[in-house]
Amino acid sequence: MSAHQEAGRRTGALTRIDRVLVAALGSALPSQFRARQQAEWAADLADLARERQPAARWRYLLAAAWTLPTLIALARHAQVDGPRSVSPPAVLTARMLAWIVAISLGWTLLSWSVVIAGPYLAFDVPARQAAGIDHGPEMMWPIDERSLPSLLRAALELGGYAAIGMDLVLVAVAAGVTVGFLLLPFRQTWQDRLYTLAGGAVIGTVALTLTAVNMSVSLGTSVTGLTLLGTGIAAAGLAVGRFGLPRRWRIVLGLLAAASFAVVITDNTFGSAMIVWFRD
Amino acid sequence: MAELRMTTPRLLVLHAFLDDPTQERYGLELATAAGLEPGTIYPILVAFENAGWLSSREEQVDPHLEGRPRRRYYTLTADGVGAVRDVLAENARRRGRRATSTRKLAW
Repeated sequence: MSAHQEAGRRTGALTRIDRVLVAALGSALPSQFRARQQAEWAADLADLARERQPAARWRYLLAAAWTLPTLIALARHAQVDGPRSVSPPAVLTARMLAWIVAISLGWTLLSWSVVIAGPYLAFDVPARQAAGIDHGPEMMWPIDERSLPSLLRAALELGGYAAIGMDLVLVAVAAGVTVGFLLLPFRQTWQDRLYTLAGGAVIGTVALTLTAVNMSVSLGTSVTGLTLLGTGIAAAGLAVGRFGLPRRWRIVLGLLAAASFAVVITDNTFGSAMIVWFRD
Repeated sequence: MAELRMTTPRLLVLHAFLDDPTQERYGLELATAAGLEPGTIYPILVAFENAGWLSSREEQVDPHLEGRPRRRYYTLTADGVGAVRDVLAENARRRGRRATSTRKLAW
């Protein structure tokens, strides 16, 4: 690897904001031209990032936005490179599925934390119950129900109810994310493909384990907690460890770890009391 | 070949290409050479490409090693070289006429 390439790897990466803005600009372009132009913008921004010119990057994006209408009009007749620069529908569908599933799992976890575990612990509900003080979940939301936060409350409560049945949902989530993320990258090196396959194997194993756990629960055994604790620790270790996994895999593994720990908490006596409090 | 309206930024890009007509260049490089705001170069390049004056190709590098997506390199086509020279010559004649008429008015 040349010194220039090494420098590119170190400092040329785009920021999340760059990626979002390039994607937003590109979304206005005709689909057959989009990938080509997004690659042009991203390569230029990576160059500007390498030269450490944040102001120049913002100016670049503003200039690109300013000339976008002209580019849209011209792009309808522009040359494209054929299938290599256009994502096949299966990849786009899998990518969308993967994002929906990952966001859904993230929202479920957030809801569980905000409307169930968080207030239960923060307001010391068991002590309030013992003392006969008001301890209903509604004490979290002393706001007019017609106001915007009540919509947020409804969304969080729905997420909370989904979280209660999470150990069943988690299997489908893990399987969906595995399929989606395996199909997601279509311009990969062999090393990245191996990483992707390794990540898929880990998540697939988690999914199979959870399926087995669900079966064992239905048979009346009690291995749920220990198995989920083990898979949660393994997923968390992979998410935070330096194994060279792509960032999207770390995010998914982190979510799976958090979900596994949440199920462990929910499945014991303390967690059951929380759920009863929330349902009541 | 489509008729193109010539604006100052477009003329600047053509001048940049004619500095070395056989050299392949990418968008940011061309914008810098032409003295344009970098983000504004692509509509110009696409217009020239649509007119058949430019051809482009994607570079063959590993984006992971380079730390950026593949660039697209643009070069003048054979037709493009002739057309660009005609356009620039016509533009120079117009500017010459305008300068002459301005001098006449001034005197």
